[in-house]
Amino acid sequence: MHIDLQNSLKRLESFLFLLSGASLLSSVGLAFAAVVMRYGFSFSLEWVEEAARYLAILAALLVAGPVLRNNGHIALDLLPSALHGRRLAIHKLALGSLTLLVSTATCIWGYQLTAQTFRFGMRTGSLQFPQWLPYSILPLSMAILALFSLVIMIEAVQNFLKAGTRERDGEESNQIHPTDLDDTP
Amino acid sequence: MISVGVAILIGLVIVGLPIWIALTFSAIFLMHISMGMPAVSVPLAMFGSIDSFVLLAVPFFLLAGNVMAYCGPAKYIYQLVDSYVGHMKGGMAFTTVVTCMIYAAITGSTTATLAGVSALATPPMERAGYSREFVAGLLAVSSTLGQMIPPSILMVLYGALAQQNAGVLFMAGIVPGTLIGLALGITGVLLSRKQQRELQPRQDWRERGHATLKAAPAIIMPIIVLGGIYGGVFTPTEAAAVACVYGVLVSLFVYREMTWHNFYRQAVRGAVSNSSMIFLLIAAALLFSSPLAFAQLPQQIAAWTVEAELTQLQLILIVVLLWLVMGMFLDTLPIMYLTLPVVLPALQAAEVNLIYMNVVLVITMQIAQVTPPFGLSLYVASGVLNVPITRVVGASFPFLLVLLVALAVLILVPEISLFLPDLLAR
Repeated sequence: MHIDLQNSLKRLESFLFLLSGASLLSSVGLAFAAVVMRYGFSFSLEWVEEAARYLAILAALLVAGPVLRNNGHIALDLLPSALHGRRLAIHKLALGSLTLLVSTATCIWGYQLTAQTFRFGMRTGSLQFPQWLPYSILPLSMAILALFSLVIMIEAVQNFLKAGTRERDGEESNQIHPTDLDDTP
Repeated sequence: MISVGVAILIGLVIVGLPIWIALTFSAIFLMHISMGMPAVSVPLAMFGSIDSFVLLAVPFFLLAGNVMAYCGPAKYIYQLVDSYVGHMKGGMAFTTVVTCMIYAAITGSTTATLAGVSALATPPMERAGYSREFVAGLLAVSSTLGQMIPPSILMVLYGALAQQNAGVLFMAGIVPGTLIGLALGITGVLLSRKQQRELQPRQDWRERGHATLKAAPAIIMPIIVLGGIYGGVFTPTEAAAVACVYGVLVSLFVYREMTWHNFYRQAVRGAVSNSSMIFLLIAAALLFSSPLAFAQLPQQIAAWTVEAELTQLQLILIVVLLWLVMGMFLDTLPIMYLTLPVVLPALQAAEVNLIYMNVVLVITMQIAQVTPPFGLSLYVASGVLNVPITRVVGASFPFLLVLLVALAVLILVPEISLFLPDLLAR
């Protein structure tokens, strides 16, 4: 893959992890603050639980793409571990396509759900926050996942071509060229 | 049509698609294409299944565990246990198991426990004459104890699925977890007495006191969590948040070992990655279970178990056998989320105690992690200690037998699991 594109992807990955980490830490902070407020000031904020929930969901879903690229999602690796070279590249391309299909479908349907709740003006239970905002986490994260599965597919195509070149080179080096025979004693 | 959906799922899992994507694909096929449910029901079901305050405890405990594992506190536990039993013949094996028990209770993660304890235990054990493959086998099995000893993430997830209080489930794990730990420790001692060539000098009480003081802030964490939940001070989710803050404060001000690298790069990034994996698996598994519920499959299975007049024990044995077979190929979370939505109604129909079943599930999942060909712990131990996987499998076998005996005992004697919850309920 082009070096600029790889650097951009790395930066995007770092940004997503930073945002996700900040969301998780904010969620922890809110849940802890709820305990402190309750015992320290005899005061409880109704919306804290809801906000902590949405922040944790944001933290978890936002990095679905980078986690996929780093093989962080649980999968049975019986078949991929038995494959090498072009076969492994084809396998990765196929799995990448299926992931792209699922993430695109979920992204589109998630967007439809978000748009519907926006139109109906629905609000969350205690925060009284527009409901479309938490719902938008799903299509957003699925769009990012689709992007990362596309990257995985591009990498698979590149690996397929590289493996093909290596296999051809290997075959050529194994063949005895007629001119080589001149030097044999 | 359900059978076609299940066949698609199995096929996609076998070819190596991440399990949550395979579940979502099959669920979309069943819900949208086969049953004609509206498309927006897919994101609605996925979001709804992870929008829960109880599940919030999962990323919080993951973060707390990572902070304790990577930012300093947990590593002093080995020195503490070693100061008391390290001088005995075979004592280092016992030290390793007990360290795994405490370390796992603090971190809640099998992988973190294995990596953390192996770094602490392997060099002195090898110097004393223990073979590396013995250490790998011992660690592979002992590191799974964190699933039984609270706070356990598996128990939080089971509690959310089975509508059980996580605090009560935690209590149910204490006695079985401690007994299994002791059994593993004793087995380790018996197997390694001949291996240990050098004995460490016995430490005096001043040294032991120093080691205890050094490890005390780390050991207090599970006590705060359990004490807080049982004292009615906070919910399990709030307890997990308190554990995170406690871990950060202790690492910063007591151990002074926290850096940006170990806090953000290892603890926070590790926690969000694992949370992503778990949350998406939950969302996809519960999405997949909705067409099954629509087709009344769980109810049909429950009715079948009643009609077949299965005894409680027969039903439990069937379920455990299913889990053990699946455990040879799959990780713990997919097994739980694939089977529990279908199995729980049958267990409830047979009036099986779900708190006791939580302990049976967790020990079975411990076994799943060390059962070849795909036991995760075996591979982590092989990778961390650089021992061929076949040797790790062989070395872990005696300890796997201990877990199997423990499973049989826990199934036959429910009182071991229910003793503490019953005592506290009085």
